[in-house]
Amino acid sequence: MWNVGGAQLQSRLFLGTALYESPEIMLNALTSSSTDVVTVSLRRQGADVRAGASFLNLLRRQNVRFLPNTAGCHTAQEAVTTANMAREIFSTNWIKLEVTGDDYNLQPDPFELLRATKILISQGFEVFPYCTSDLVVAQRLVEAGCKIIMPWAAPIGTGIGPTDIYALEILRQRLPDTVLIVDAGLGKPSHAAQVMELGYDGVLLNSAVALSNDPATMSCAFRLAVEAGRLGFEAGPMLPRNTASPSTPLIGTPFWQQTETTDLCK
Amino acid sequence: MLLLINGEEKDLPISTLSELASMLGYVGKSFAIAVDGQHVPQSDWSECRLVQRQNVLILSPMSGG
Repeated sequence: MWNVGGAQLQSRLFLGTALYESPEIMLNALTSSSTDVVTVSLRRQGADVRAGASFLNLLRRQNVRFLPNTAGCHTAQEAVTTANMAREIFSTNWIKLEVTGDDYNLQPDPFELLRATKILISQGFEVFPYCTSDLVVAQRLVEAGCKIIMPWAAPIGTGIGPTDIYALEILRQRLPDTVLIVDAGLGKPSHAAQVMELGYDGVLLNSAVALSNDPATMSCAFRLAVEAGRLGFEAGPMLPRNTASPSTPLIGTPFWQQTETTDLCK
Repeated sequence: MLLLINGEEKDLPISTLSELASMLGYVGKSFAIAVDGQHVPQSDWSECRLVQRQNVLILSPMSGG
């Protein structure tokens, strides 16, 4: 068990609910991931007044926590309004704060993100800010009161995996008391294992599972990768060495040779 | 009253937000409303009096990443 935002969770894998071909495929993926937290969003209400309610009811039966996002917001004010609306609908003070600064690669706007964070924390939200892996931005968010930071591994939906592993590693080292969850850009289970081995507390995914050929199997693979990465981190990996070192003891080697280096040169 | 609801102009015979929600069938817990960019909690809908040309945003749950 681990603690995030005042909740005790079993799983370190957060899963998105978008992009699945059908609700049934989504539910199967959620089940095989064993996730405790799913991300959700808000849209402008259309003519079908029942659509949103049925989606919500479907997820409520999964016994998962909701992490609503503010996707599509470009200013702090938009994000604050959306967060408050999400709090009312989903009955949670958790908010995955997204403020887009660039529409091409969906890069977060750090200035509006920080502004919105300060307002939302003063309003009692548990803010999960989606940001880049920039150390100073993360530090400012922590200073503003964030207990959780969600840096990207790469731009949303790319699936290319961590583009700046050094930056992610530095974030972990410099913010040892902050919950760090990698959000966005992962495509393969090995990517998830890689960031978990750095000591990240969790991983948030959507496209990597939903756009795979078999979302239920892929979410299971990510679950195992996240668990493996975490165990690897907790076990403490050996330090890398530049020179080879035999893993099999030399004492009693059947065909012992004592070849001098000089002999090899003859 | 002329209002801009989710980006569409609508002329409706209402004066409060609760009347608007009721007329549009938006009842229950699956909707949230903002007026001129400010969220109005459901508990305040009946006291929220609308004026001409206000911008009303009605949001409902959807999938997200």
